[in-house]
Amino acid sequence: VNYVLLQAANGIVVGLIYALSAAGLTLVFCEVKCRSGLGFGHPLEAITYEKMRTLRQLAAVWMREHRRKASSIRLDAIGVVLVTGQEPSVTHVRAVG
Amino acid sequence: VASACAWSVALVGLEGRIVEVEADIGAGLPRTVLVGLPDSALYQARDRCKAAVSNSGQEWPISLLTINLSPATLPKAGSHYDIAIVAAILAAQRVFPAEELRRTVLLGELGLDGRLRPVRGILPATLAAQQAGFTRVIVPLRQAGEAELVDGIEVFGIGSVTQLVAFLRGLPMPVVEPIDVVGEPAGKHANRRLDLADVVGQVEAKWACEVAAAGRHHMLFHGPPGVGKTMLAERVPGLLPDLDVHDALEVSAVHSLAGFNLADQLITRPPYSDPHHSASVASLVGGGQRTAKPGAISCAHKGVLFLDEAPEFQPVVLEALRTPLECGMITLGRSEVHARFPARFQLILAANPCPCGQAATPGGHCQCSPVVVRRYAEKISGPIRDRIDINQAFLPLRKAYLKAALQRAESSAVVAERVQEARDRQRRRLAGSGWQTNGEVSGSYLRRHLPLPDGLQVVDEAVDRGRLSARGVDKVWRLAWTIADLAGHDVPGRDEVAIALAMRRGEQPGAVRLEVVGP
Repeated sequence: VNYVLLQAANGIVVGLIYALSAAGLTLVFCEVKCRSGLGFGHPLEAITYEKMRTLRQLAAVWMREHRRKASSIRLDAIGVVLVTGQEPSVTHVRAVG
Repeated sequence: VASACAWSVALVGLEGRIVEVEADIGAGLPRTVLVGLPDSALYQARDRCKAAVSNSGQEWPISLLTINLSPATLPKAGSHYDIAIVAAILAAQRVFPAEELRRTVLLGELGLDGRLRPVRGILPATLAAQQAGFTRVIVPLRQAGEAELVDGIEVFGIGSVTQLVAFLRGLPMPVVEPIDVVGEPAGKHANRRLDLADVVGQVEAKWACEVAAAGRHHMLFHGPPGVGKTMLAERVPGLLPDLDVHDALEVSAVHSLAGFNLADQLITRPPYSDPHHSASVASLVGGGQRTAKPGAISCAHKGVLFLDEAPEFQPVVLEALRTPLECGMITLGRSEVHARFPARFQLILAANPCPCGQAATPGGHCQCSPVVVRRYAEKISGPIRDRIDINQAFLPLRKAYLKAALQRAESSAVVAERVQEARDRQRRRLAGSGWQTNGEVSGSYLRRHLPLPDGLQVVDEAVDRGRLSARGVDKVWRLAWTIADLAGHDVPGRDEVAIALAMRRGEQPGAVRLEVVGP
């Protein structure tokens, strides 16, 4: 699958990125959550229902502003674990919201 | 994406149904969903299992985890599914081969540290697993003895999740301190060894107990306080013969379900249950909100239910006994299931004649007004009285009589022997009918298959005068058979019928009865 990164929203909260990519005709809005260890649980566990709802609203706003059309949209989540001295581990789950 | 299943048992009344626990690790945000009509104790299994798995050195899947308990329409209650849920999840993660769980039933609640806690109902659940064709059952370590009471199924006791994983991987099991079974030991009363000889006097009442024990007849004791009603009732189970294997298994299963500790052995002595008069309907007949737990009457199945101070019970509680007294079982309807529990108990009621206890007692000075005395007696309703076979009045003891009685008191062992002989006669006569004792035989069977005893004119007369109901006739008939069995006669004669009628109506035909009492 080819993803084209359309826009990344950075700097709202440290470690939180909104990334947009188009795979075929599907627009994907992705929540990225990063943690520096598993002491407080996996980053994916911190992606709550409220966060996904915000992302969904954001998707609607973005599409209206950019006048983009797509046959379908999808909400994904990516969990990143960054432990110093180790390869970062990235978990991508599709269609979560 | 992976899935696996494990098996457990749902208990509806005494019947167990196999429940398939499926765990599916799918794509999605990390979340655990439990579906299949769980109750609140079972829904909390999610959190218990998660902590138990993490604390056992295993991983809880970081993805959407769906646990399904099927059949999905059967409501499930209780905490004993924990270990099956964990096993299914670990098998889905390939911690051990999923094939290891085939033909295996898992039962047990998990502590947060990953150790397995004992649960109630292990015996009936194991029975259900064996009947459903499962070959292996895994239970909490301390309850392996209880599960082993069931033949034809392999039993493994484990102490924790780490032990379960090691066991299913075929590795040596780590040492774990198992959690002990809490719960009142079952059959406590049977160990008390109360002797009939301890009761002074009351020869007639003792004989009534002997008849009741021989034929499993219901009794009502009435008399002033302090004459030995309670003492005598407590000694009735000691007169009953041991339970046979089938009954022992059934009685033990009910006790296991009620949360008693079986201590790894079947209950072989008839149980005794004496709920306090403050008892609620639910505590007596069994209850619970969505599903049901056996009550005192089921804990007295194949044994004795003694209600002391019967008029002090709430009327609605006593009336709840009507149906189980007739059909020997109780069906509790709840919003989602109907639970059936066996309740073939032998009822003994004890009552004072009035609030002060002295009414109609020779030498007593009753302080109560006639209306109060009547009200007190009415608290045991007509329908309940009609189901009583033997009405036994207790009289206060005279000093001289006390002395004489002391010398010829019979021990329980002697009486139990006569009861056993009478039971043997009944078993031979009733072979193939499905009943074992006179007290249980249905009225229609009684009339059709048992030869008509002579001297029924006595009974007919009583019916004509309105003193005996149709049910009462059957009761007298059954009693007459038991009296004949005790006396060693093949068929009850006129005397037996006369005595039976007198016992049923609570008369005191001393002369007639003493003839039979003679050794």
